[in-house]
Amino acid sequence: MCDTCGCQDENNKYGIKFPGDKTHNEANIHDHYHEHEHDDEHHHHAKKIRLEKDILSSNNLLAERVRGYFESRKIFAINMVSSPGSGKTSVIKATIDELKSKLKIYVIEGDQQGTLDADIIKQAGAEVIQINTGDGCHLSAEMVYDALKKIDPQSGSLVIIENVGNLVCPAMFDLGESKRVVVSSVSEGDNKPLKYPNMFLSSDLCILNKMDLLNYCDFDLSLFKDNIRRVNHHLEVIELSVRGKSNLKAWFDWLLKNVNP
Amino acid sequence: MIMHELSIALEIVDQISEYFETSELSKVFEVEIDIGELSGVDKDNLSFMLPFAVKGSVIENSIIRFNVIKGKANCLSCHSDYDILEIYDVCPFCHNFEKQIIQGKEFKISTILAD
Repeated sequence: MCDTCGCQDENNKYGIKFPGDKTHNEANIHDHYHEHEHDDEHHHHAKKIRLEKDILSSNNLLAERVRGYFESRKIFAINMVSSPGSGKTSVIKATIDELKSKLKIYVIEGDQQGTLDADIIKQAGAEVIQINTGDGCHLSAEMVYDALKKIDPQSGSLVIIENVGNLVCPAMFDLGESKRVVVSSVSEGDNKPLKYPNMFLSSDLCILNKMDLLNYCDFDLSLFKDNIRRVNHHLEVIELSVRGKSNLKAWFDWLLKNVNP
Repeated sequence: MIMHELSIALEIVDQISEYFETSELSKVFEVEIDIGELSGVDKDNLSFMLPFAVKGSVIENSIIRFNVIKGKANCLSCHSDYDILEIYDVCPFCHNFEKQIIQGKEFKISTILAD
């Protein structure tokens, strides 16, 4: 259905498919080219103006400004994204525990409500600021920009932005980060990269958490890596377990290498 | 939870309003939006959100058209161009998955018809 002009398209408006259906969803690609009757005589004088304006441009412009701020202060900033419950906060807490003696760490916490994660991070010993998105499903560059003005991170530090737990919306919003890190976990299944390809396509590093559960889950590690390569062959994977304290060093090394290039 | 399509719908309204205010235009009849199949924006969610976003704006009564742009990739192994439905599709000629997406990520206001 097209709510904009009130016409109806009863055919497959959500792109509903049977398994194995590889056809282009023509019904779904109805491009709203209907001949509406316009009684406006002005229409004859109307002119077509080519705007060619990227709809996300205001976010992208502000994101570039944030990126420039980070670069000028030699700050390494990561945007951590994942579905809810993959262990972003645990990874961040473990990172603070390990690196707080070597680095100044700031955390920008994004959650729909409350300060639960921010409280954990504060206790771990990092400077933290919480952004509550309310009804929103992602952080935007503007929120990060405002948060940065408040926390004023010092030169050479590490800024960790923990995005809202959601593998869909945050993929589209550049926050000005230096690198994007997607956290996935063994208990979520090996097909996450194929189900949420935009997030895996836009990320620079994938942390595969909860490796201690590998024997308890139907998770095929080589299939997971194949799936990642099909979506983004540049995406590096670090397998670790925060709870099992395994291979965290690979992650810390990755961070240190980027903070002090 | 509001999906990102609402903030995007509001963004469309803001950008056209901004252009409208600095131009000599009096009415916007049509808005044409290019939307790539791989852009991450769901056209139907966006169509659903737009009527709320346009209320009281300069495009409240405008027709909004979508040009859906199909996904295309260039194979990094055999260098053929091929159509992709999903980001993870492999090259139909050599079955390699390493690719560069060359079309289908677009998401922009392409034209407005105005007086």
